[in-house]
Amino acid sequence: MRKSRYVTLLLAGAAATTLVACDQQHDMTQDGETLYGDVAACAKERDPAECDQGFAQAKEEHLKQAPKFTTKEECEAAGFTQCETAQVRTAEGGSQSFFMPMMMGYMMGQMLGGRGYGGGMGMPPRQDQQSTGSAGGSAAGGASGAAGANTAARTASRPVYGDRNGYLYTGGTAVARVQPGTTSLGSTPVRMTSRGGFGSSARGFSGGA
Amino acid sequence: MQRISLAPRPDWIAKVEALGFDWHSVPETEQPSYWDESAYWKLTADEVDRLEAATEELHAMCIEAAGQAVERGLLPHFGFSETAIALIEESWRRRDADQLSIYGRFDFAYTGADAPPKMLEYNADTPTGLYEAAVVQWAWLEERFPESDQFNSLHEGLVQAWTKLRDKNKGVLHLTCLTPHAEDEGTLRYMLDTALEAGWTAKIVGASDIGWSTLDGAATNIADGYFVDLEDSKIETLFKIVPWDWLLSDEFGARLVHAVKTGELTVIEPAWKMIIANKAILALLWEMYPDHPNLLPAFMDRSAFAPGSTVVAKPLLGREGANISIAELGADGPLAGAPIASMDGAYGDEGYVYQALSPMASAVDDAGKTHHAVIGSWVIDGIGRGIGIREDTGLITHNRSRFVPHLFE
Repeated sequence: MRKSRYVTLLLAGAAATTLVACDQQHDMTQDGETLYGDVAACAKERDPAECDQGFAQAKEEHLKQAPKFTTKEECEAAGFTQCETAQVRTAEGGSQSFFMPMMMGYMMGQMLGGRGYGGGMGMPPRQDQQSTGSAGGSAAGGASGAAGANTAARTASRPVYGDRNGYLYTGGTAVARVQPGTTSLGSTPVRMTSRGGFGSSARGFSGGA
Repeated sequence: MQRISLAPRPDWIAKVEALGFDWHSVPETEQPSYWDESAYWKLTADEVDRLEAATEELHAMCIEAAGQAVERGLLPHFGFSETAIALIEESWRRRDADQLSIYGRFDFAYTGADAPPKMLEYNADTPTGLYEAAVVQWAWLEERFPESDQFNSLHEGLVQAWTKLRDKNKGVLHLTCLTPHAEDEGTLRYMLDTALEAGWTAKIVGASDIGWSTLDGAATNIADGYFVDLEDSKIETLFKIVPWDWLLSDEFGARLVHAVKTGELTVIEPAWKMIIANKAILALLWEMYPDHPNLLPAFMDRSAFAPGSTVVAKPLLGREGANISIAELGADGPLAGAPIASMDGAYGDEGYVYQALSPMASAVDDAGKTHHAVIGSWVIDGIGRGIGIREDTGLITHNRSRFVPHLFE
């Protein structure tokens, strides 16, 4: 007998599951963006005026973008630990208060006009990474992924807030993760994750061999 | 080798789907379009012995040839970039220490009986059709011919191979492929199952969901980073159903090279498998083992063939029959007339190897159609573990050639 004596059929159950478990948009830092816990952390690397301006801009964005809840309990039930009150003006001229996760930091990209990092951390331009190229310089199509395609054009700063599992979000997408329970980023290093760097150069993608 | 027609099981679709085989057909084409149980191939025990012996001998020869390719500095002729070559050489040097290899699949032209199986190529990096061979044709045999045998201990082989690798390598196994893609995702689930059965802790992550985690301010700094899954857990051992050359030309390619060279990341199949997955290996094998009964004449330069020869041009990095053409050579190499057969595709810029055309098993069915069969012979951890047969009415087997089950007596 050469035949398998058994073939385990875990498979029947597995078949029902889909591969990509996460339909949440779970990326993306733009290459070259840096996450700062506060203005002081930013000012170690950049022009302090730029840091102030970025912080103010992020605060304003945060007010617009962060998830909002009518009560603190609802905010916490949604997974956020540091919920603060905020007020916005309504169109009728009144104001309304609500709860939202506190801004824990902000991300700043490269400045328009090619201004890079202020702190001597100038990273190689993107072309360097792409020049690894396809084996044999062959016709691998469109290698440039979605990630960071517009890096040079980014000047905006982006607000960052966290949940109780330590995920840090901007605009509803997770960009980094810290120790759960972290309440302040301060000037501690934060690991950032960029995604989407694989899967763009499939040639006439239909599988293997 | 004999092709025998029989009526498919009336409820075969429900049965194979119950196994998780959800890529059994190509919609809106002539049916059967992929899984085809309207026939099966019947082999003799002697034929299976021949295939098994050829598989294991050729695998050993390919490893020898890979070593020569590195030692003699031949890799630039394989169409690899400098980055790829550096990675491959490093991977080859460390192959015994920390390089994990599970599988590969030879394709044979074999007409049966005493004729030696002829190696067409070795899909050593991202072979497909594993699940069909290991599970679907096994279940078919169990139901239809439970007393017959099949050259197929793939499942046991995979579990054994994963067990061996788990002993070498503690930690979590990540598995990845490009999505959405029913076939690759299904095969990946099967690899996940066999790894779990072998005791691994294992987790699937889509290729485009893989993240590069870096310290604050170093998003473009390769040296400080590592790969992570969607939960931001570090990826240390990665099984991939994505060809190496695609990964290397991706945006994360340089990061991948760095992570593998520093040992931060172990990839299955290892990078050195790129050498024997490359069609240039065919010319090197013929040079090293001229007139070996399981090899076909193969040269990088088609003028090495006698005028009038019928040769098959294969792109070095090609897959699934893409850009392969078959033509008769006139004097001094140029083609005499139009190709006899050819396939479109996105390959070929990297160069071609030329291989003599070999007769394949073929049979005419009741409707008068001729079917050509290629035998995919699996190597799991160095051992010949079974076959899967692909059929086509054309001469070039491609990604949608039908999978037809087999048995032997």
